[in-house]
Amino acid sequence: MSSRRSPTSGHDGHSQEVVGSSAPHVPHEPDTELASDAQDGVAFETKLAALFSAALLAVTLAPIAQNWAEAPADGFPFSYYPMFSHPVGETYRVTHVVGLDADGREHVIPYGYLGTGGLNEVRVYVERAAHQHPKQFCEEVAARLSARPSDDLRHVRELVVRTGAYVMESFYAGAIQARSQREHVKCRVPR
Amino acid sequence: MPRAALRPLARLYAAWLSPMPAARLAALRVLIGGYALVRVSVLFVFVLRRAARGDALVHPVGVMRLWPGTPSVAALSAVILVAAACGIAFVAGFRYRLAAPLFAGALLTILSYFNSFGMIYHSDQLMVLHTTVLAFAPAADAFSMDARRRERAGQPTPGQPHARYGWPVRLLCVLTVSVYALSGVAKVSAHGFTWALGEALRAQIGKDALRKQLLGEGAGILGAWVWRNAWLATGIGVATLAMELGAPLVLLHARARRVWAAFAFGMHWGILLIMGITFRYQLCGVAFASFFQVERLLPLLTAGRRRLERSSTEQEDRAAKPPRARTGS
Repeated sequence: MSSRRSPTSGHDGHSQEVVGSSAPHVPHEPDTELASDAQDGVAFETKLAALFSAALLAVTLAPIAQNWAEAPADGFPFSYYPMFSHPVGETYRVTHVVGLDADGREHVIPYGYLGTGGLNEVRVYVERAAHQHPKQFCEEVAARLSARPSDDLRHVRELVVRTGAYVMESFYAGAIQARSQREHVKCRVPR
Repeated sequence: MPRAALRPLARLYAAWLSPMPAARLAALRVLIGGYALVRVSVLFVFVLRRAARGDALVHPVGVMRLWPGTPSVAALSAVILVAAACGIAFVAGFRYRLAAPLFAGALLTILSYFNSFGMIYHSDQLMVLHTTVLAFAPAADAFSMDARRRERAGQPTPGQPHARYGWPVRLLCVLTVSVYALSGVAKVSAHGFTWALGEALRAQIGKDALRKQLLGEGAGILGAWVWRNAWLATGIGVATLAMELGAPLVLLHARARRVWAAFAFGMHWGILLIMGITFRYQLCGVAFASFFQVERLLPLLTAGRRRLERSSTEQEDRAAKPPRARTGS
């Protein structure tokens, strides 16, 4: 089977190579009825395409209304894309878990011990768990830490589930300052 | 309705359906489908592990809003199998009319489950929308197993650019710019245009760094630099908001579209360096592929395939050749 190459000009004005292995079947005498049927088919297809495009675009843009809703709700796969738009004050509240060693020194417990998923997903989970079932959550984290402690967390004896209002400026100033802190629960790390 | 009022609509309709080569749509099928297939493959262990633990959905979204209760491991495994099989068929363009909608549906189901635990991953949304468009477009009319089968059967193959290959590419572009425009509107509705002045951006950078530190992850490597230089934050803020709110305007000009896409691509790399946030679909560039003449990549794939075929044919020839008879004593 021989290959056929013929340059054509696309809509964008650039030329492209059209490659095909066989010439399309072209009747010698155009059958007007068949041609009319084909045209009707193309017209229907293009109308359907326009309808599909308009419908998908409309449902994609519809969540814009959430910006003015009293309780905006994000969705999937249609969203109003609120990332980086939530107002942030001078302080920011974070619920997290701190490990204490025998000397009372504090260690950050990485999110991998706290739940499943990426950092932001775990952050949302920790927030909820700390308020709904803090003791159970703390013991689950302690069990995970006990089962596979990293080198720098081997000496952690106790865990504290804490929510703090932290001063935003303080992070890049070198040390994180808390304006207020609340301990939800403490639990021992089984050894 | 008077005719004059309908004229712009008719022009828009005609522009929407102006022709494009089948190869561009095919290249987008390979790129976007390939990315979606990799994403499903990466997620499947995570999804099944979570299902096996029996985690209850926190905030069901998408398909999960219609799903009765929490999906079982068996149900999710079946969806993942469908996604994997149909995903391969989607990329290869095999039985496309059946496989592509099935792949899009399975992808939507898996990602709906993944996003139903209280956190929505915004980079997945555009990928799902793009895959949906391709699933209902004739994206396997070229550079596909279906096209080769039709060639062998002597059926006509797409030669000239056609309207049916134009609208899906345009829809991909319009959906992409719409997502950024929505993001811009969300910023302005929360802060007004002062978002562009940089303080809101600095606050986002600070917030993100703070929580990452407290949850045991490093902040973006350029975060401190932008935080300390308010003028830089203002520059980034102005450029970001202009890019997002001006996104729909770039649809009017081909070069503007490409410049915009390059800028959006750069913005996501900036977000990674400043805040350490990975919008994977955008970072790898696939999200913006529809703005470019990606069909130019196809000869590279074809050349690679031919080289593979040639080497395997040579190996077969060598294996089939009888050993040379010894002459002499």
